[in-house]
Amino acid sequence: MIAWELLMQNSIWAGLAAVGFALLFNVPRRTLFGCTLAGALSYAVRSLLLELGLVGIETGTLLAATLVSVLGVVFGRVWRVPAVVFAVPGLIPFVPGSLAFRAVSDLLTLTTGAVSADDTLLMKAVVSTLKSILIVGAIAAGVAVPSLLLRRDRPMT
Amino acid sequence: MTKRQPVQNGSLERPSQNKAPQPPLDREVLADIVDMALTAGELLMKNGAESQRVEETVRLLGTGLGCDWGSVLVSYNTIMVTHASGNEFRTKIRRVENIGVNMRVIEDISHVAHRVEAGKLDRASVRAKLEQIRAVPRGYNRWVTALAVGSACAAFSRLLGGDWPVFGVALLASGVAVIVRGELAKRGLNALLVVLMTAFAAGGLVGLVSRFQFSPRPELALVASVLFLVPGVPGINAVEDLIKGHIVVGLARAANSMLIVLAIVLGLILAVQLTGVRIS
Repeated sequence: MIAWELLMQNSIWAGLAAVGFALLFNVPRRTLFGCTLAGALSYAVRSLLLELGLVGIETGTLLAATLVSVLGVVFGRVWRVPAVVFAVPGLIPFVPGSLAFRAVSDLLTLTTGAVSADDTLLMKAVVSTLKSILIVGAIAAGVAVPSLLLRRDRPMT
Repeated sequence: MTKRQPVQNGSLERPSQNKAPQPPLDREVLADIVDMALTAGELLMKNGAESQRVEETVRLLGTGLGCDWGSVLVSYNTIMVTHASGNEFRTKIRRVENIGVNMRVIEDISHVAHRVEAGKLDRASVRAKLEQIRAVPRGYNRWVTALAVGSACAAFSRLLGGDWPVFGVALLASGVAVIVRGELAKRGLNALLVVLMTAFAAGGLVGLVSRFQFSPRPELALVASVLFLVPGVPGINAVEDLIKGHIVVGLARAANSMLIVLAIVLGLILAVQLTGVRIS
């Protein structure tokens, strides 16, 4: 059973996050809607893929990041601006902030030696570190997809 | 005795995508074009464009304004260009500091490049356009930016699973942190130090508020409030540069992004240890 309501809510939050970052990067005002859309849509797609249990979070992030960057190219053609305008704010919601923070704090706790006998902490630290690295890698790989596929005879959008 | 051939400057170099040969330009005109091309490249680089875009724009402004060919070298913080016309050529290097991200500037320069390519702009109007783009201040008011970024970070805390108190604290902490960063950046401190201190300010604020037990998971507010420091644009540019063959610049950008992440982490850790946020 898919929690549609939560999915909708989260997409709205993702759209808000995207548009906030769009303002930080000073995108042209007329593209703000596109940025919101790119952020919300791609987050919804990732949540849906995860909900359906089709893919893990790493693959899901890869697919969603690919979607964002493809949307960036399409929207860039529509609004006649460089694709990065949409891609960067749209990707921000995928940053594994909480996971990475937990990874660092677990790793630091390990160094205190207070829990030397605790194997689960070690496992947790390693797993969350690896997951964070993989998710960041997935974002990077997804971003790269359009530039790998599109042969640009005409320079720049 | 055979008659000696006249010596030609740069005769071995040939434009790769040569159109019809253009009328030769004066040295002064050439210098002017080189200057404008570098200015366009500088504006792009300063505001978060990837190397390919910089290189293409700098070359295009030369050929579009009447040069026969141009060669461009883009490094992490320098642009070098040679533009040539007839038997004359001019070369110039410009050092560029990477200062931030401003998509508006990138868009404007890209429009100028398109119109030059289409032959719709002459030298005087290109110069006027560039001056105009350079003079435009940073678009959105900083309080608006603080509010927008605050909301974005707060929205992110919801995505992480935070409750409403976390939302409020993230909004406050990141909004304040945006202003703090603006103030620190103005003072010309080292860029990494600015990031570290900003992360510390955001984390410290969350830590202080967490004394009041505002939520069972205060660490979500902590993480969300520094999200805007994450080097998204430099990271993406690093990837773009690496896959498009600008390996050295890509590596430099990647290294810089990693340093920024480390600075964020360090700032947060300092804040956590000094204020004693309880992390579940």
